[in-house]
Formats: sequence, structure tokens, C-alpha cells
Amino acid sequence: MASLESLFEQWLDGKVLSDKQLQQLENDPEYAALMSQAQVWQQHSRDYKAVPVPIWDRQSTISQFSAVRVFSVAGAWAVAASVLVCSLIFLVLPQSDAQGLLAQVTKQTHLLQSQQKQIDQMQKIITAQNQLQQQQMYQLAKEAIATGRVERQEDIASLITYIKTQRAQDQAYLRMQLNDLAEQVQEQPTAAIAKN
Amino acid sequence: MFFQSIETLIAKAQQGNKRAWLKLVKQHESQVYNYCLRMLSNPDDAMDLMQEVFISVYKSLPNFRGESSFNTWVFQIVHRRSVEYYRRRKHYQSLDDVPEQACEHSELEVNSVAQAQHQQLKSMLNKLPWEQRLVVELKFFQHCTFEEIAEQLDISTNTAKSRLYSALGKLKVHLEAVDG
Repeated sequence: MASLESLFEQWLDGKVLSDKQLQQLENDPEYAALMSQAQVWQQHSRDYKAVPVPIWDRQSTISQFSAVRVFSVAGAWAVAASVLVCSLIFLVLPQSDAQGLLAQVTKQTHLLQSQQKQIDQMQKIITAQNQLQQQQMYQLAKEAIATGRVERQEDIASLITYIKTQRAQDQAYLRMQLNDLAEQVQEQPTAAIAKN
Repeated sequence: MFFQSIETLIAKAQQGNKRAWLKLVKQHESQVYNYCLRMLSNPDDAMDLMQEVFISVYKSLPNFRGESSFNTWVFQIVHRRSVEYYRRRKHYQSLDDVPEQACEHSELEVNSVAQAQHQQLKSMLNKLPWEQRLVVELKFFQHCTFEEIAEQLDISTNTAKSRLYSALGKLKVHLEAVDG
């Protein structure tokens, strides 16, 4: 059985078997069936006509990586540059230079701090000015309102005076008319006066 | 000099030469595409898988040391990617459930005999489980020995043999059903 299996494998691999060996395989029902089924596949393989590849974008196999590679190269350069700079600062530069650098950094820090203080003071002044301006505006508005009120009071007072004068005049006129009527009544004869 | 050997093309592609890479793709695309078509039975899926394969090949190109032939190396990647593709697709639907699509290639439409053969082959392959389909592909279409199949699929030689024999047994059942 083992030899039949070996023969079948050799036959599958395309090795030429002798007639006797082929006969051996074909006489065995199991291997004969396997051979005939394998022959169907072999036939399909021989007859297979390669399907032409549809038009496709071959560049797409590269484009996905080119950007990544550029990025990674840039990243690598950035990291390398950082390492180099750090090495220069901490290893290559002499100690005195490092101290000088430190002093420079301290000086710059103080300068920045004083500038910050100045900015804070300026901000305070501006805030105070704003408050003063607001108070002045309030006063002005208050005065304007008071002036308006006084003016209105004066106007009303003059109107009342005018009305009073007018009324006095009207009353004087009416009084005169009543006096005239009274005189006319007194001057008439007694017979003409109605008797109740 | 117009002709460049595959070694030259590989070396140039490894150095980032785009033209050399595109030539390599052109040389191997038909083999890869037809493999994908046989394994997946669907031109769109075959195209997707082929693209994935070449992207993988390009990515792994710096690692190619020439220990095996470029073709063998490419097909190792093809098998790996096709298994991944199959597993990924399996989450959505079974390949056997996919309705067979009409072939869109005009040359095949003209050649009805070839089309019939393709349909029959597709039907036979679709009857097989994925693992057996792979072994049939490697044995009959890539003409690999059992040792090569075992190496490519990372299985034992005996497993490769048993998978092939099972596939042949299934074909017998299929042919008997067809013959009635």
C-alpha cells in the first residue's frame, strides 16, 4: 500500500512511471479513482486560459508607502537632530560654556519677569483709567438729568403763573360785566321790574 | 539596454526605483490575479486581493534576500494574504453562499468554450473548503510538490497529502452528482 502511495505521488509530481507501475495503480480501485479525479484537475490546469488582468492602478501599491516613508524619514531626521543638539549641550560643550549659558538663561528669565511686572502695572493703570472714565460719565449723566429736571420745573412754574394771571384777568372782566348789568337794572323804572 | 534581468529589477526596486517596481508588478500580476480569481471566484475580490498582495510585497521587498526565487517568495506572500483575506471575508459571508457572477471579460465571452471551462472550474473549486482549495491550487496550478506545499502553508507533508486526497474525494462526489 505504501508503495502505491509513493507511486501515486510520483505520478502526481509528473514523474514518468513504467507501464507496470501504472498498471499497479490502475488495478487498485482506490488509487484508480484518485488518478481519474486528479486527471480532471490536471486537464483543467492544462486547459486553463489566463484571464487578462483588468486595468488597474499599479502606482497605488507604492503611493500608500511613499508618504509614510517620507514622514518616517523626516521623523528620523528630527529625532537625530534633537539627540545631536542634546549631546552638544550636555556632553560636547565645556562646563564654563554651560555655566555661561545658564547665566544667560537666568538673565533672560529676570528680564522676562521684569517685563511681565511692567505689563501688569500698565494693566492696572488702564483699569484705573477706565474706572475714572466710567465715574465721570456717571456724573455727567447725573448733571444732565438734574438740569433737565430744573428746567422742567421752571417751565411748569411759568405756565402756572400765566394761567393764574389769565384767570385773574377773566375774573376782572366778568366782574365788570356784572357791575354793568347791575347798573342797568338799577336805572330801569320800578314798573318795569317784575314782581313775584 | 532594454532587457533587465529580474535580479536587476529587484535590486533597483529595493533601492526605491519606481519604474523597476512597476515592471516587476507587470511581470507577476497575471499569475497573481489568476490565482486570486481561482481562489475567490469573483473578479472584484480577486482585484482587491491582488492589490493587497502587491502592497505587501512592496512593503516586504527590503527583506527579500534571494534565498528562494522571487516568484516563490511572492507566492508565499500571496498565500498568506489570501488566507487573511478569506478569514476577513468569512466574517461577512461564506464564499460558498456568494452567487456566481457572470465573467465580465470580453475575450472569454467570445470564447464560450473557455468560459464554460472557467465556470466548471469555479464550480468545482467552490465545492471545496478553503484549505483543500489552497492545496489543489498549489498542486495542480502551481505544480508544487507536497514538500513545497507543506512549506508554503506551514503544515506537515502528511496534512498536505490528506487535504489533497480529501479534495479529490469531494470531486468524485461532485462529478457523480453532475453525471446523475
